[in-house]
Order: sequence, then structure tokens, then C-alpha cells
Amino acid sequence: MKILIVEDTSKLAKSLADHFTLQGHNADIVGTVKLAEELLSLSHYDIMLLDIMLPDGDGRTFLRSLRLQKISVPIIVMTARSEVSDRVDLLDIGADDYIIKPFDFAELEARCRAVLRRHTGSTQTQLVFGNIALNPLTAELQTPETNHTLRNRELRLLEIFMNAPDILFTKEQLTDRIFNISESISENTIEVYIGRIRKKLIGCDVHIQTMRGIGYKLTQL
Amino acid sequence: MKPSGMRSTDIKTTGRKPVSLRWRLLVPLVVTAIVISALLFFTMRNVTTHAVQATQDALLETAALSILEQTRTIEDDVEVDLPYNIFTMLGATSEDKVYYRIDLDGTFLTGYEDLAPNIIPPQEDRPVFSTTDFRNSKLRQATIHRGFVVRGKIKFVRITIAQTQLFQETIIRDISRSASIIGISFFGFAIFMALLVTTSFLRPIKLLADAVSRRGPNDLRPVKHPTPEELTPLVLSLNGFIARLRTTLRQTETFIAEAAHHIRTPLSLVKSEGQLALSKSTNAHNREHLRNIIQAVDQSSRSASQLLDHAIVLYRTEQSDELRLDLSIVIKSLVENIQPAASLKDINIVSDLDTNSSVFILADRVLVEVALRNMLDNAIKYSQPDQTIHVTLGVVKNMAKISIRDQGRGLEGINQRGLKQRFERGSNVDDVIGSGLGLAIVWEICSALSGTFTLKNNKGDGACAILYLPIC
Repeated sequence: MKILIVEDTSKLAKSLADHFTLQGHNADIVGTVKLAEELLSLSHYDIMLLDIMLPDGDGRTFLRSLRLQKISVPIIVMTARSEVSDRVDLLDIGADDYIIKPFDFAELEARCRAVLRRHTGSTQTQLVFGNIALNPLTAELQTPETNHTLRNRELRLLEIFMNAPDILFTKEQLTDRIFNISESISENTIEVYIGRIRKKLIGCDVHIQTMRGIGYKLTQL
Repeated sequence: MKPSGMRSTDIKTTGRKPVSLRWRLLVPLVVTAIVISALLFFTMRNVTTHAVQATQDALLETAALSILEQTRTIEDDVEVDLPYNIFTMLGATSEDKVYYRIDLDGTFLTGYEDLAPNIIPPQEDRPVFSTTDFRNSKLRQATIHRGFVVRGKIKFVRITIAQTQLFQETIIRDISRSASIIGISFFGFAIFMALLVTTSFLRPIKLLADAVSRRGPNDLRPVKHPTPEELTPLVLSLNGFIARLRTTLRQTETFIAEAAHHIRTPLSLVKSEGQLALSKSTNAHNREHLRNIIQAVDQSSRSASQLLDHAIVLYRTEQSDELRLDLSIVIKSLVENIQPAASLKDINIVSDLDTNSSVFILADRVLVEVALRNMLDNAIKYSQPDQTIHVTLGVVKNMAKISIRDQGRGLEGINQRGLKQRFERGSNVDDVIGSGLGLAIVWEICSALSGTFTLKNNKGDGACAILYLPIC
């Protein structure tokens, strides 16, 4: 996924970009409307994260002008202003979603996925590995024996594995991406969700392998 | 704030209530009318009484003088020849009785002996008039005397002639009745004119007040309503106040927005950096510390957000922008927006909204959304993974009923009254981040929108928050 981050607080923009890079995405950072316009004209982005208060203009004006130019890149507005005073306007002028600062990376990712799914619709390619197929839009897991509808956390966990098969994820990495940090959970809670997915993968030629003391990876038998 | 301020409100005053302008005008005018009416009545009555009295006195004097004229000295004696025509004259106008008495040198000669025995006029031929009760009737009497020379000595003939006052009383009664009618008519007319003058006097003030009240809550333009020049200082003061209010509100709005930006941006950076550090850290102790930092940021952020929400609610309550809202659409878009946050916890939100039957309310959309968002936030916060939150919309007795039912831990250790208080929280929620402002905000919005809000435990698990708002 290629992401354009339009944020004038450079440290915040960098930490967002670092996060997306760690997750295997490409992220470009700009701090002004002018630079954002230039980058959008030069390159294609899957999604744009847009701050409202920018040094050379209002993010809302920029958003409105993009929609007037029929530029349909999915946009999630990151606002630090009051939750209630802006949100109605934001959706009306063409934002796909908005998120209030400060936010959890997990929530930002969830919103990005939801927006991308709405944009790509059901034509989005299914994730296939071995003899299982996962449709992130419908949360349906197809196995040779039956179809399962996954809960949100199960879906996100399996999505992580299927996007990077045979890659080892530590418990901590998985916990950070699945759970909200403000929730009081033990890091062992991830095992509950691993167990649930394993049950659904019985009879398939893929399984979640435990690397004792390190983490988990999805492998083909 | 709230003019809502500009809404119709009861003006509370301390101490004695000032007298209204209408009464200030009306009371002096009415008192004046009463005094003038009374003066008119008594003046007419007095003038008439005096006139009638003077007429009767003139008749009695004429009669007494006529008798004196018919009195003469014959040889050694005095002879009185009563002219009976005077009795005809006195009795011509009414049924009044006439009495007389003639004395010579203090000795009763003829007439009624018990009539005015002791009246001695000070001068000759100058009658003395008096009013007295005689034989159960009120009499007006004239007494006159004149000296006659008999055998070289002066002998005084005293003549008293009296008449009852039935005719005078009849005339005075008739005149008094007429005077009363005139007085009451004048009073009625004066009151009517006073009301007319008062209404006419106050009309420009009422028109000005109507023009200001008709304005929408966001209409802070200067008042340009035509008014008499006496009201110009008031209009100028009002416009000055509106200008100051406009500036203050603009500053408040800007301040809230900027405060939010300045509070949230650094928190956002701390949280992002914390999350990055957490994702790169493998040391369990460090991870625990980082989690604590991030949770503290969340706590600060939530408190700041709700304090700002609270400020916005107070501001919007004053400056409300009422629209006709379709609640089913508002709830649907809110649920869609909040669903990703709920999904992160594997919490499902099921909304039972009949999109074909809309429920309309007249309210500020921002206020409604803040209230519903806080109710939903609460339900999500206290729900466990795999639980469901049910959102329903219906109409009960002309009120829209929005209920949000969760399967969480329910309410414990705090009553409805306590939850209305700011910074009050239930005793069973210490492990969940919260500020204790969310429900207080819902209460305040509910009160501003003339609705009701209840929060109770479900029969099974969880709590149910119900908001009733008047439909339009």
C-alpha cells in the first residue's frame, strides 16, 4: 500500500511513516498543501492521510479542491480540532473517513482498510495461500471443507499472516496490531485468537506454526 | 451562556420586582381619572345644592318681606295682614309644606309656636336663614324682624317663614344621578384613553422586542428596526452588546478549536512515538512501561476531548443551530463511523432502524451527535469482545426514543443522580479509561434539547441508555 501523509508536525508525520514502513507499506511525507499537490500529480497513492491545519492552507479547502478536480484518492482526515465541530463538514466535503488525534495505529489501520475496501469493492483480490482463501471485504475464509465467517480480530490476525506467509511475527508485534493499547489485556491473549484460527484451519494444508519463545508464522504443510 | 439564550426564558430578578412600564403609565392616569371624576361629581352636586338653596332662600325672603310689608301700625297696636298669595307662591312648585310664626316684641302672635322660637336677626329687614328639623321634616327657614313705633315705643315684629325641602332634595337627587353618570362615563372614557395611550406608548418597545425575538439563534446582525428617537439609545446599546457577543463567541469558537489542536497534537506525537517504540521493543519490562505511558496519554487525551466537548456543548447550547434532523440517518452515519473502533474490540453494533419510517426532531445536529457518540462510546468501552451493542430508534408518546443496550458489566455503586455529576464514575469501572464527563455531557445536552435520559441495568447483563427527544 502506498500512502501519502500530509502532516505539518514533522515528528508526528515521521513516526506515522515509520509505522507504515514497519508494516511493509510505502509512505511519503509532505508538510504543505503545495507539496501534496505536486506529489499527487507525480505519483499514484492508494490512500492519503490529511491533516486539517497546514501552514499554507486549510486541509478542508485542499480536500474540496481535490474532489472538484475529480481526484478520487481515498482520504482519511486526521484532525486535532474538536471532534464535534468538524466531522459533519468533513464527510460532506468528500473525506472518506476521519480520525481524531491522538489515535491508535491499530485504529488508523482499521480505518484505512475499511476505506480501501469501500473503494475497491468486492473486486478486491482475495488473499490465497495453500488451499485457503480469505476475502477481507466479507471476512469469509474459504477452506476445502467449509466457509467460515471470521470475527474482526480473527480476520485481522489471519490477514497479517496471509499478507506475509512464512514470515515470523512475535507475540508482541501481533498484540500491538490486534489490540488497542488502552485495553487492559495480557500479551498472552493473542494465544486465544491463534487458537481460534487454528481450529478453523483444521483439514487445510496451511497452519500457524509456533516458534517456541519467539512467535508464530503461517506455513504450508 | 445559552441565549439560547435567545430562547424564551424566565428572567429571574433578585429582591423586589420592578414595576412594569405599563403600570407606571397606567396607575397615574387611572388615579387622575378617578380624582377628576370625583371632583366633577362633587362640584356638580355642590353647585346644584347651593343653587337650589339660594332659590329657596330668595323665595322665603320674598315671602317674609311680603308679610312685613303687610304689617302696619294702627292706633296703639300693630296689625298684620297675612298675604295668602305667598303661600300659593311657595307651594306652586311642589308638595312642600309651609310654616310661619309671627311674634311681637318676643310674644307669640300667630302661626306655629314651636317654630324657631329663639332666632333673633341682628339687623332689621335682613333675614337670617337656617336649616332645622321640625316635626320629622327638614325645614329651611327665614327669620326677619322690623321695628314699629307704637305710643312712642319701638315694638319689633318678628316673622319666621319655613318650608320643607322635598323639592330641593328631589332636584339634588336627580342632579346627583346625572353627575354620577357623567362622572362614571368620564372615568370609563379616561380609562379607555389611558389604555390606548399606554398601548400606543409601549408598542414601539414591543415591536422592537418582537423583531429581536424573531431572529434565529445565530443571527447576530445589528438591529435596524425603525424605532422612535427615545428608543435610539436602547437600540444603540443593544447593537453594541450584540457586537461584543459576536466577538466573544467567535473568540470562544476559535479558542476551543485551537485549544483542541494544541492539546491533541503533542499528545498525538507522544502516543505515536510510544506506539513505535512499543512495536520495536522486545523487552517485557520496557513494553510494560511504554504501555503505561500510552495509556496515560489516552487518559489525558480522553479527558481533554471531553472537556473540549463539554465546552462545545455549553457554547452550542447558547448558539444552537437547529435543523430538522432525520434521526435514523444521523444514527446510521454515526454507527458507520464508530463501527471500526468497535470492531477493533470485536464488538458488533446492531442498529434496528427502519429507514422507511423517518423520525424527525428539531435540534442542533452537533449536540445530538455528541450525545449519541458519548452513549455509544460508553457502551463500547464497557463491552467485552464478541458482545453486541443494540441501537434502536422508535417513537413513544411524541418523543423519539433512542436506546443503546450493551452486554457489558452494567452499573454498580452509583445511582442515576450520581452519573449526572461531572467526574463521577461507577465503582466497577476503575480498570477502564474514562473521565466521568461523558454521561454528564449527555445529561446537559438532553436538558438543552428538552428531552429525558435514563440509564439502567438490563434484566440480563449490561446497561441500557435511553434518550428521549421531542419529535417535530
